[in-house]
Amino acid sequence: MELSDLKLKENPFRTGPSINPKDLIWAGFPELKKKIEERLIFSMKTSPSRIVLNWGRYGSGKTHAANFYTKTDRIKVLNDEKSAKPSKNIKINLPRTSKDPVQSFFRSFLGQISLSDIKSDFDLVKNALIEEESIDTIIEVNSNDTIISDLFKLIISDDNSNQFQAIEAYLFGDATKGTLVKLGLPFGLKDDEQIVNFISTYINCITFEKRVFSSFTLWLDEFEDIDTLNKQSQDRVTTFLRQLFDKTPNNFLLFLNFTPKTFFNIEDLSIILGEALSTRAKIRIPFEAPSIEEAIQYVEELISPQLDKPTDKYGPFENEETLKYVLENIGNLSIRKINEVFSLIIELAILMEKDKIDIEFIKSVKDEIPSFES
Amino acid sequence: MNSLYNYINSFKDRQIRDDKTIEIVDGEFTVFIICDRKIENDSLFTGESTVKSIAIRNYKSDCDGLVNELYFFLNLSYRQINKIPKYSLSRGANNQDKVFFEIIFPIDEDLNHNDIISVITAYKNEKIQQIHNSFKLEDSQFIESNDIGIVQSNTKTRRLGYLKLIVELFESSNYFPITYLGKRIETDSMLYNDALYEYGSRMGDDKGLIKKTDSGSSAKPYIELLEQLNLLTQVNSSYILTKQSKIYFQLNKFLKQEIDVVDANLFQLNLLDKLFFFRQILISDPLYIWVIIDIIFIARKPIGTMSIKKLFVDYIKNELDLSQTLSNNNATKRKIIDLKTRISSWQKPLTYLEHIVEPRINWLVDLGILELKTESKEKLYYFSKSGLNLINVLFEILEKNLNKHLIIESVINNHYFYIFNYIFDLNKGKGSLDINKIENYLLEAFQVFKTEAPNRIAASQAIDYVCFKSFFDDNLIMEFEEIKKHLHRPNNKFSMDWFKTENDGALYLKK
Repeated sequence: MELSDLKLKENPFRTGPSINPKDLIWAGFPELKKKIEERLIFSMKTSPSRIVLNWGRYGSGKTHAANFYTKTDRIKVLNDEKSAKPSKNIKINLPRTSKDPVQSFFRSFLGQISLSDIKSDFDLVKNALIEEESIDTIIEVNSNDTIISDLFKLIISDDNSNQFQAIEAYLFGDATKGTLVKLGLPFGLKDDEQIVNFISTYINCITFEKRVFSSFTLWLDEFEDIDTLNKQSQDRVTTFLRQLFDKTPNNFLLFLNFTPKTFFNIEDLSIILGEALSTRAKIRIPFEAPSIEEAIQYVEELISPQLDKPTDKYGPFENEETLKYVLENIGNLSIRKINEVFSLIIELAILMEKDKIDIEFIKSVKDEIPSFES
Repeated sequence: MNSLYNYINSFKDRQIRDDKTIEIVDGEFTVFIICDRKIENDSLFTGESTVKSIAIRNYKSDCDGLVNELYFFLNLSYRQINKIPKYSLSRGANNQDKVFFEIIFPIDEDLNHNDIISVITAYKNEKIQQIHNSFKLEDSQFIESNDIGIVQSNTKTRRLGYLKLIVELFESSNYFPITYLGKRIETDSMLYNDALYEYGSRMGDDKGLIKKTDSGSSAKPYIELLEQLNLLTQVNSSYILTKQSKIYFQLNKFLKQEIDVVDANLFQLNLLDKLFFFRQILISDPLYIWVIIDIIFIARKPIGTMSIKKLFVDYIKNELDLSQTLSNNNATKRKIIDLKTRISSWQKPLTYLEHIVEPRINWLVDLGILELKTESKEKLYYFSKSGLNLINVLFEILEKNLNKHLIIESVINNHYFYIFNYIFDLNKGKGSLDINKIENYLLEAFQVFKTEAPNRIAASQAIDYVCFKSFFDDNLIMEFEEIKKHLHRPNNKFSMDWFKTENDGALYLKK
C-alpha cells in the first residue's frame, strides 16, 4: 500500500524542520503570521531598529518561522506588496558551548553573507549614490571605527582581487604580520567590539536611507542555548547584542527566538538578557499552543496541497471528528507534536493497509503513538 | 588481650569463616573477629595472628526500632571509647526483609580489644530506651537524587539573619553590580550591629558580624553563601535573586506589609524565615548538616564544636561509604568517590572544619533546632524540643529508606511542610485540596512572579507559592509534589511543561 491509496501525493506532516524552500509552507495560524509580518513590514517601511522576542515552547514553530521568512520568497512578496526595497534576512543559531561565542556568531554571519555578497551589496550602494556623494563618505558616516572604515574601503575597491584572500583571512581572524602589512591595517579583527562595528557598518551602509535595502532582519534562533555557555560568555553575548543593536539604530530588525524553559536558578531567559537588552525589546510575539480549532485548521491546510482530489477535504481521515479525537488525546499541543503524531498515523495506516483513517483505527493504534494519553 | 580471649572462649560453638574470621553468636548479636592471617590451631591465642577488626552485627526482622538501636549503640561506643565507630546498614543477602546494622571497630593504637569487649558488655547490661517515634511518614517511594549537595561555607557566615537582610536589599533594585553589592550590604548592616549584640546576649552567641570595610570583603562570605544556597546568582556582571529566593523575597514582602515587623530583631528568625531557609539548607547541604546533627545526637549530651570536629571526618567518610554502597547509580557512586577523595585530602581537617561546623551549628541555633548551654565555659550545644522532633523525623526517614542523603530532596518535595509543622508543633492541618483556592493562588502567582516571558511563569515558583500561602494563610499543609501532580492532570485553566533536566517546569495560563 502506498500514499496514493490514502489519496495523498506526499505525507503532509514533517517530523523535522525542512531546509528545502519548496517544502517550507506556512499552514494555519493566520494571527501569528500577521503579527510577524507586521513587524517585517514595519521594519521595511519605518526606520527605527527593533528587537522582537519570540516566545514559544519547544516545537511551537519558532525555527520554522525563521526558516520560512529567511529561505522562501515570502519577504519578496511583502516587499513588492508594500513597494519597499528588498530586505536582507538571515537566520543564525546561537553558538552552543562555544569558547568564543562572538567569533562563532561572526563566522556564521560570514557563512551566510560572504565577502563577495558584501562587495556586491556595496556595488548596489555605489550605484545608488547621489550627486557629489562618494561611497567613502557613506562608509564614514555609518561607521565610528576608522579601522573598520578602512577595511570596508578595501573590500569594495575594484582593484582588490589580489587582496581578496587576505581580506577573507583577516575577517576569519588571521592577524599575522604578513596579512596586516599586505592590507595596511594596524591590527587584527579579534575584539568583540570590532566585530560589532563591522556588522553594524555593513547593515548601516546597505540600508542607508533605505536606498538599496529597506531593512536587515536577523533571526537569532535557539537563544536558550545561551545556557550552555559559561557566565562570562553569556555576558559577552548579551553585551555584543546590545552593542550591535545600539550601533545599528536604523532598519535593523532582530528576532530572538526563546523557549520559555525554566533553568537551574533563574525563571527564564529574559533574566539573562538583563535590563539593558530587555528594555530595548519592547515587542513580544507569543508562539502559543494552538487550540483544537486552530490545530484542525493547521492540519487541514497541511493536507490540502497534498490531496489528489481537492474535494476530499480531510484526505485519508474520515472526518473532522477523527482529527479532533487525535488532537484531544495527545496532551499539550505543539506544532511539532501534531506533525509527529499525524505523520506516524499515516505511516501506520500504510503499514496496516488501511485506506480510511477513522476513530476506530486511531483507537487500535493508540499504543503505538508515544504522546497518546491512556 | 585477655578479656578478648576470655570472651571468645566463653562461646563453645564459635566458627571460623573464610580462614581469617571467627564468628560468634552472642545473644542477639553476631560478632566477627577478623584476623590478619589464616587462623590455625588456635594460632590467635599464640600470638601468630593479630586481630585486625571486630564487627558486631544485629539482625532485625524489620526497620522498626533498628535506627534507634543503632544510635543507642553508637552513643554507647562514644561514651566508652570516645569515638563513633564505623557502621553500616543493610538488608540481608538471602532474606530481603531482614535488615541489620553492623558496627565495625578497627583495632589500632587508639583502640584495643578490651575497649570493644567493654562496649559489648555495657550494651548487654544497659537497657535500650525504646523511644516511641510520634512522627510517621506515609509510605512513599522516594527518588534518589544523582548528587549529594555540598555548600562551601566560610566560618564567618554564622547568622542567617544577614541572608534575610541581603535578600531584602533587592526591594530597592532588581540587581546590584558585582563590585558594589558587598559595600552596600556593609553599609546597611551597620544599622543592625546592636541587634546582633542583643541577639547574642539572649542566645549566647553574637558571632558572624558584617563590618564596614573598604573593599566589601566582610560581606563577601555571606554573598558567596547565598550563591552556594542558590539564592543569589550573577548575570551580566550583576547579582540578581534566583528563582528560588524570589519566593521568599515576595512572601517576606507581603508579611512585612501585614504585620509590624519594625521591632523584630533581624537575627531572630520568624516562621517564614525558618520555613524557607531550613528547606534551602536541607536541599543544598544535606550531607554536612545531617552529619553534624547525627554527631550531636550520638553524643547525647551537650557537646562543643571541637568535639564535633574531632569526630567529623571519620563519620562523614562512613556516611559516604554507605551512600556509595546503597546507590544503584554509577554516576552517583562516582561523584561520591570524588567527594571522599576530596575529604581525605584535607591537610588540616580541624582548621578546615571551622568553615563547616561553626557556621552550621549557628544556623541550627538561629533556626531553633539547637540551644546553647549558657552556664558552661566552653560553648556546648544540645537539641531544643524542636531539635528532638527533627531527630524523630530523621529517624523515620532513615527507617523508610536507608540511603538518607540521596533521598532528602525527594522527601522534602513530598513531605516538607508536614515535617516542618511537626518539628515546630504548629498544628497545621493536612487538608484536602480545595481546587478553587489552589487556582486562585496560582493566578496570584502569575502576577507576583511575572517576567518578560508572556503568559508564563516558572512552575516551581507557582507551586511553592501555593504551598507557602496555604501553610500561612489557611493553616493547611500542601506539598510540592501534590500540587505538581494536580497541574500535570488535564485542566481548563493551566497547562504545564515539565523539564526533568532542570527539575522544574513552565506554567501557562490557558486562554
